[in-house]
Amino acid sequence: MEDKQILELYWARSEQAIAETGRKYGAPVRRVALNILRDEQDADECVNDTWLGAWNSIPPQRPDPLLTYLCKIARNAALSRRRASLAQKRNSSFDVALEELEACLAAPDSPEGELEARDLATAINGFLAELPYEDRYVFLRRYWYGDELSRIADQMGGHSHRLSVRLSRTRKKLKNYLEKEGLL
Amino acid sequence: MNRDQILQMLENIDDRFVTEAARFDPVGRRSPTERSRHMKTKRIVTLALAAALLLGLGAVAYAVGMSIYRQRQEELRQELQIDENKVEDYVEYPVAQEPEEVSGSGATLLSTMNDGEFQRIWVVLNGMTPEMIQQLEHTEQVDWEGRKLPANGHRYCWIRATLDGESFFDAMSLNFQDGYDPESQTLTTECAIPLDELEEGRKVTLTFVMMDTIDYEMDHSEGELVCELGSVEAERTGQSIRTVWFPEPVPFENGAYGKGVFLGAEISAAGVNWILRHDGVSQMYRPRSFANEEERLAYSEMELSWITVIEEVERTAVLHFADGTSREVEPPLSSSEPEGDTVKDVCLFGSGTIDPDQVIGITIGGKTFDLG
Repeated sequence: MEDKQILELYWARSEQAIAETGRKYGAPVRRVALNILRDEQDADECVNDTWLGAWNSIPPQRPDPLLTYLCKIARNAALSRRRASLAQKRNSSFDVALEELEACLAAPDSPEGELEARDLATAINGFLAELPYEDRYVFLRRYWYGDELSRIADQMGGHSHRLSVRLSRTRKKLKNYLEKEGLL
Repeated sequence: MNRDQILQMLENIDDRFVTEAARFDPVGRRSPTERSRHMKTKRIVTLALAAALLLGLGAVAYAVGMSIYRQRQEELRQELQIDENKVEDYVEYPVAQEPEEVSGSGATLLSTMNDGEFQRIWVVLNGMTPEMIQQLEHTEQVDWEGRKLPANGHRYCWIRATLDGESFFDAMSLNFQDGYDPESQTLTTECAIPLDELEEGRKVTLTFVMMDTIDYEMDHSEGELVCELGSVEAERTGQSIRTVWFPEPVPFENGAYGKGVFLGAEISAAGVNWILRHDGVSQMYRPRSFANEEERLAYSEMELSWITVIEEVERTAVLHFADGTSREVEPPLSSSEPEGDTVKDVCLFGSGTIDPDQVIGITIGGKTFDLG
C-alpha cells in the first residue's frame, strides 16, 4: 500500500492504518529499536509505542516520508527506554557506536554544557552535506540507525573491515569539522 | 563533547539525510533519469573533488603571460610539494603556455597521480561562466516548472563525469570559490577513480557534464543534462613504493581474540600501507554468510574488537625524516584483501606528499625503528 493511502487511513481513524504500517514498515522500525536496545521483548514493546505514537500524531501530522517519521519515533522511544533502564549495560550495537564517537570527539577542554542545540544542528548537517553519498550513508546507518558494521557491509557489498576504516576516516573528518566550527 | 551532546547532535540530523539512509541505493542516488540524453549506467565509481587541495589554488601569483593551465600546474606542484619531494609518480601533461592559447570550452588535463588507492586526475574545465558557477552553488525548493517541492525535496546543479560514457562519477564538495577563475572562466577540479575501477593499460575517456537534478525524496529523483563540459583521456599510472620490514615485529594483543603483529610498511609519496597479521584474518575476510542472527552478532563483535585494537596502534604511528621533522600517519582508508595471512592497511596523507627515501625512522606501537 502506498504511504498516501496509509495516511488516509490514519486520517479516517481506521485501525487498519496500524496494521498496514506494521506490514510495510514493521521490519525497519523494529531494527532501529533492536539496534539500540538489543532486547527482543523491549524492541517489540518499542515498536508498539511507535505505532501508538503515530496513531496519536497523525492527524494532525501528514509525514512525508512516513518511514523516516516512524524511525524517529522508534528511535526516541528506544532511547527513552534505554535511559530508563538503570540496569542497562554496554551491550547494544548503538552503545558501541556511541563509544566510537565519544573516543573521537571527547575533548576535555571543550565548553561542556554550553553547546547550543542550534549550533550542533547546523554543524552536523553542514558536515553531512559535504560528505560523499556512501560515506554519509555509512555514518547515518552506524550512528543514527545503530546498525552493526557487518550489516552495513552486507547492504553495500564488501568487507566490513574496509568499511570500518572508511568510517574511522569520517569520524576524524567530523572531529576536524567540529574543531573548525569551535564546537570541540 | 560528552555523550549527551553527541546524542543531541545526532538528534538534530536533518530528516533528508535520515530518509536518504533508509536504504542503500547508489544507483538511484547517482543516476537520475536523464530527460535530455540517455546515459547508461553500468558501474559506479567515485569522484572525489578535493576541496582541501583546491583551497590552495590561487594563493600563488604568477607572472602575466602564463596561461591559466600552466599557472594551475605550478600551484598544484607547490601544493602537493612535488619538487620538494621529487615525486616521480606525479605526471604532468603538456598544456598551453600562453594566455591567448586558452580555448573557449572543453576540458584540459593538467596532471595525474596514482596514490595507491585512487588515480587522482586534475583538470581544468573551460567555458564556465559566472552564471554556471552560481547555479552550481545554488539549491532550490521548486521544480523545473516552478512548482514547490515536498519538504524533503531539493533541486541542485552538480558536475558529474562518466568513464567511457558508462560509469558515473559523483560530484561532491567542490570549493568553487578557490577553484574558479572568473577572468579565464575556468574551473579547476580533481577527480579520483578507485584503482579497482581502472585496470592497468586501459585508456579511458572522462566526460564532465553539468546536471540539474531534483531529489524529491529518497526513492525518486530526476535529472536533466544541462551541458557537456568537456572530455579528457586518462589512464592508470605507476606508483613507486619503498618497502621496509621492521627488524622485529611489533606485537599487539586483543584480549578476547588473540594476538597480532605489524611486520613492516610500504611507503609511497602519497601514503603508507601497514603490513600486518593477526589471529582474526582468516575469519574477517571469509565470504560472509551467517547461519543465524546469533552468529552474525558474534562475528560483528569479533571484527569490531580487532578493528579497534589495530586502529589504536596505527593511530600512534609517526614517520621521522632526515631533516629532523616528523609526520603522523592518517588513520587507514581501507584494507587490502589478505595475501595468505597478511593484510595491508592503506593510509593516505590526504594533503601533500613525502619523499619515501627521506624517511629514516618509524614509530609504531611505542617502538621507534631506525631505517637508516
